[in-house]
Amino acid sequence: MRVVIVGAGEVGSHLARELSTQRMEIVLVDKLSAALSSAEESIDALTLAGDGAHWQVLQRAEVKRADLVVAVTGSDEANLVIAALARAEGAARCVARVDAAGFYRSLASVEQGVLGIDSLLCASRLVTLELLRLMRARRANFLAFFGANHIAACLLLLHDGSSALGQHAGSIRSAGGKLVRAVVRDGVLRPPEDITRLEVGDRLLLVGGPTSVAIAQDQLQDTLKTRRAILVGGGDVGSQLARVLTETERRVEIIEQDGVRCEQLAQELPGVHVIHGDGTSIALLRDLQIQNADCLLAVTKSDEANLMVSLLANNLGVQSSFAIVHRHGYSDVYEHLGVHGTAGPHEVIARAVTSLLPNDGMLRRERLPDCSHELVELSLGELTDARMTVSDLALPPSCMLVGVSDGEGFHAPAPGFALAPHSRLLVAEPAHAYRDVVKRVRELGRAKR
Amino acid sequence: MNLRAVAWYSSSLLLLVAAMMMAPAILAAAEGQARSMQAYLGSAMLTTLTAVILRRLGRAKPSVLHRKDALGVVSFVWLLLGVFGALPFLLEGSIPNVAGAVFEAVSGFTTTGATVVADVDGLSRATNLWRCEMHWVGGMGIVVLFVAVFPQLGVGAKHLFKAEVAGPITEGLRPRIKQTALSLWWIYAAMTLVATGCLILAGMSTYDAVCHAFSTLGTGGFSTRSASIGAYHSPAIDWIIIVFMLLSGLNFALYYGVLRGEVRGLFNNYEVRFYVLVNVLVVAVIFVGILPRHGDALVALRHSAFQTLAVTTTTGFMTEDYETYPQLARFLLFACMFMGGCAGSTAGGLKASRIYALLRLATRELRLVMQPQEVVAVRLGRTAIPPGIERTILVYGAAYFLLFFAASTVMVGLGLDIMSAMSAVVSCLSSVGPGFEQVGPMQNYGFVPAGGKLLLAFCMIAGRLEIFALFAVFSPECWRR
Repeated sequence: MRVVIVGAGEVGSHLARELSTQRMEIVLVDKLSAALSSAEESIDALTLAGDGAHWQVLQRAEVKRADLVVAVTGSDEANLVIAALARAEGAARCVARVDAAGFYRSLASVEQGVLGIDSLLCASRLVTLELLRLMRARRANFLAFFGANHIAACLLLLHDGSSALGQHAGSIRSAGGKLVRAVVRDGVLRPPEDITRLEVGDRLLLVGGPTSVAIAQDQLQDTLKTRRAILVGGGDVGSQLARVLTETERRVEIIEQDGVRCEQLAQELPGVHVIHGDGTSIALLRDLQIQNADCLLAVTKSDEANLMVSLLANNLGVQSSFAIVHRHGYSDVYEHLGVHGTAGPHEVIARAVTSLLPNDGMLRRERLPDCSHELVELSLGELTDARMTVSDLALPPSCMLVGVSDGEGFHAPAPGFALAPHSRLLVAEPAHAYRDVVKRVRELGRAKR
Repeated sequence: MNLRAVAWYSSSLLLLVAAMMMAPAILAAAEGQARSMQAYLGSAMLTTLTAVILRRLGRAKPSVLHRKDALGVVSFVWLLLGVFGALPFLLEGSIPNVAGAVFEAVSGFTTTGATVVADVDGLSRATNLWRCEMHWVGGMGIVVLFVAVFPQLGVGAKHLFKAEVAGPITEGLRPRIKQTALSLWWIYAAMTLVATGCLILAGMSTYDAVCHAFSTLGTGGFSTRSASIGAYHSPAIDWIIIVFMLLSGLNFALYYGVLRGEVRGLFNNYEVRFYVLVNVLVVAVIFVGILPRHGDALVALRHSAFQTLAVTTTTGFMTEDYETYPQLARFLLFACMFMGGCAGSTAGGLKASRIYALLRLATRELRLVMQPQEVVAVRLGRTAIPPGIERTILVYGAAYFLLFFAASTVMVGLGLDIMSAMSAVVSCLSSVGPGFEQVGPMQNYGFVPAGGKLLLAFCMIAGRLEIFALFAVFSPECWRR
């Protein structure tokens, strides 16, 4: 498979490195030959110096033969132009990185079909969601996002004192509706209808949109609006995180150094406490009594500041700290030093692009800890029959459809729900049924073609 | 440099050499030459044994091959090639002394074609095949073959490739270096096949045709006859070899372009134009010089073109003794030995593109003398040379001449006359083969003292790996942890 990557910065070179290890043919294009020569040292790829937003350069890179063109330069506009040009040149698929959150119509981090470009990726939103996932995953047995971040699947252990104990599993409702898709008891996954009385030690499989799962998770653990989160850095990631966190946390504070930006944040984010100051200043952190905070997220543009803030927070007694990592290879160091989780634009974009590569229906497979079943994400492909519904899927009997997503967002898998082309299905299946499930979904695609 | 990595990769490369030895062994077995068969089987076994030991030493190698390690692997392997390539000569007894056998093997793998054997006709058929096979594999490069054949070396493959295929600007043809290596080998193999077919049609025996096609495409120069191509007295064979020598002296990347429909690239390329121009000028001078002797213009053209291309492509075949040519013609041939073929070809030498770049740099200096404030980019064809490359070209040119003078001094000290010493050294550095006077086309290197042979063998490897790749391994920086 031939992939042309325009932009050899942290994101572009990390993506090239990841893809070249998967035996793909990579052509890396950048304006700066210095960036290319440093990438050459560690990546088996063809490099080409030139402005990717120019026809000639794209022609030299032979984008017409490319299976995928990824535009990840530092400029949103340039990326849009590159992807649109590549599309016009005849590239099979084009992906552009557009960071401005305001560009997107929906809250999804991936948008499809704009300007003939297959997918637009929002790095700041992908990072936001990844940080959110890491934060929530500390309070769950298992938490993963599927369906281009439209679906969250969470495995929640019931402790003593949970409001759900003793209830019928099928009757539990939370903010997002009925989210309990299954219950794991004694390592076996069962439909919620089978469990009439929930007990301590049962694990609930919650599947829904990321925010509603987060709220449900807190409601079931009786921790909704009990915690305090501190964000250092009020950039794109900071403001998006704050907006999401206000729905679940008791108090959300943003520390931002730039006064003008603080004014803007205060206007944009009702209910968020905006603090003007230097987040790396220990005096300020003490002043804010951050030892009482449950969680700190360092999301400034500087790796050094993020590391410093997270370490200070750990030292001052914050329960968990998370940070953005901008440069490739730093995340291990962060985690070694005690930061609880990191997310970087290069990692999230590489993951998103990988999921956009032509696939044979199977997108992702995740094991559930200590459980008979695993989760598989499948893509439906083209459907010519517009009336196909969930009940037409006819998956193998031991399997359970737990969620569906399309361009619009998450949908509960009600039997009569009409499936859209390219929908993504999240299926819980026992490992031995994996081949049958994949085969069945492929058959559906083939039959419709 | 990680010695385990060097040992592990070298062992794989030695296995390739052992596999190569099976061809002469099979030929000898088929023709019932027991001694040759034993020699080649024995050599293959010794090579395999060494490979197994090296693999054992390198079993805990790191997963990533770094640039330093790649340089180490390539240099080490090229030094090993001399030793293991020499084994059959020693075991068979065709070249009884060690220095001579190593010289012959290095000359084979570096596609020099300088020989210590006075009576080539007296060698066994297996040995002649082995000599030409070394040319063929060494021409495109054994490490390139390794990169093409072995699965998944990752970015290490790139470092290996670049360490062996040096050049002013090495460009990949295809995104993955393995594909590039594979494409180059396919083109090379296909051209060899065509050359073999043409030679058979022109009346050579299959065995001679294969050997000479190997030797021509690798721009080597070993022949199965003492009198080289001249022994056949066939204008058709001469012309076929002339064409294939020229083709082997051009950049193989251009053939890849031709296969993809960019035929014009072959004619628009500045290096090809410059290289052909130089050849035409030299052929014209020699033609005028030897026309009176031959009388027939076509015969004179054939001989002048053959001798010129044999030198400029660094092949070293011959159809007649150029020592009998006029002085100007001889000197031009001597000067051409420095240049060699195009970058990206199987030929050696400074490479036409570097000479052209040096000329352009010199003309820029003229402009700068008159107008020091002017900023002038040096253009090769349509593209300007980046400043970093400018430096490497100049430094490589200087290093080449320094090595030439240093080695020539030693050779004169060993008792060769000045012209013989200089021509022997440049002939080995540029992988031509024959030189002038005592090492002329009708002579051989047998009389050179053992130390001189080893020095010349070292020069051949230095020239093949473009000096710095080999010398880097001897610098303490490479060994520092």
